[in-house]
Amino acid sequence: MKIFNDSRKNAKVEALFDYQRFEGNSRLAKLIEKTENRYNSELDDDDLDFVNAAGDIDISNNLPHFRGEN
Amino acid sequence: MADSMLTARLYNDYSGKVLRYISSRIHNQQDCEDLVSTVFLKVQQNISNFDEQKASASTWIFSITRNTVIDYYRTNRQQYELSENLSTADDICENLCNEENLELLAASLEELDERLRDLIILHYFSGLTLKDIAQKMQMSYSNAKVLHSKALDELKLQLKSKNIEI
Repeated sequence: MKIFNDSRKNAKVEALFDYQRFEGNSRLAKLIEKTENRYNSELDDDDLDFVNAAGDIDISNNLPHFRGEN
Repeated sequence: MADSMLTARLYNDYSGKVLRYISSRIHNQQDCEDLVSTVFLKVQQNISNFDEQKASASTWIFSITRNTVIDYYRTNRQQYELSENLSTADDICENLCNEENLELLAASLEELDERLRDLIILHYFSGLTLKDIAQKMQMSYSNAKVLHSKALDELKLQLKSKNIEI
């Protein structure tokens, strides 16, 4: 029962973080940034489908045999 | 004259913060700009009731801003879900929401184990559900709930040592 109750958000903690959105305390902002970078940088498989490091939608143009070479 | 000068000063000091808060909650740029105007119209209309000796300008303007966003959510129910805590936060914020307590929150979070700190930040600032956090942190949902409970207990202890009760 305690676990189910504790899964609800603590109102005061939520209020403080809500105030952070407004005030933008720099020390807290740095902690937030580190956490968000840590988890936002880990793309899942669905997101990877839309990422192409070369920036080209169609990579076949970069392959020699498609360009008529070799 | 003094009221209009005070309003102008408050606009200069806080319009950026107001916009940042509203933009974090509402993603339509035009609506954000309109709401910033609404906030400072309310500031202007109520400036004669504001006493800087009794309350900080930051907390007062934050309260007006948050209530303005809540009114917007109520008008646009289909798009936005209103957090129960957000709608009842006025009493909580009056004595809690200040720069000093944000600094103490940061100091308390720094004392936590990284995993617990991450969970608190992802849940309370980034707005992720515990199910989403479980997925990101590669654990079961049950474990995320247990960890949330543990993180809150440790955060409470740290804040209590700094005279903040949560």
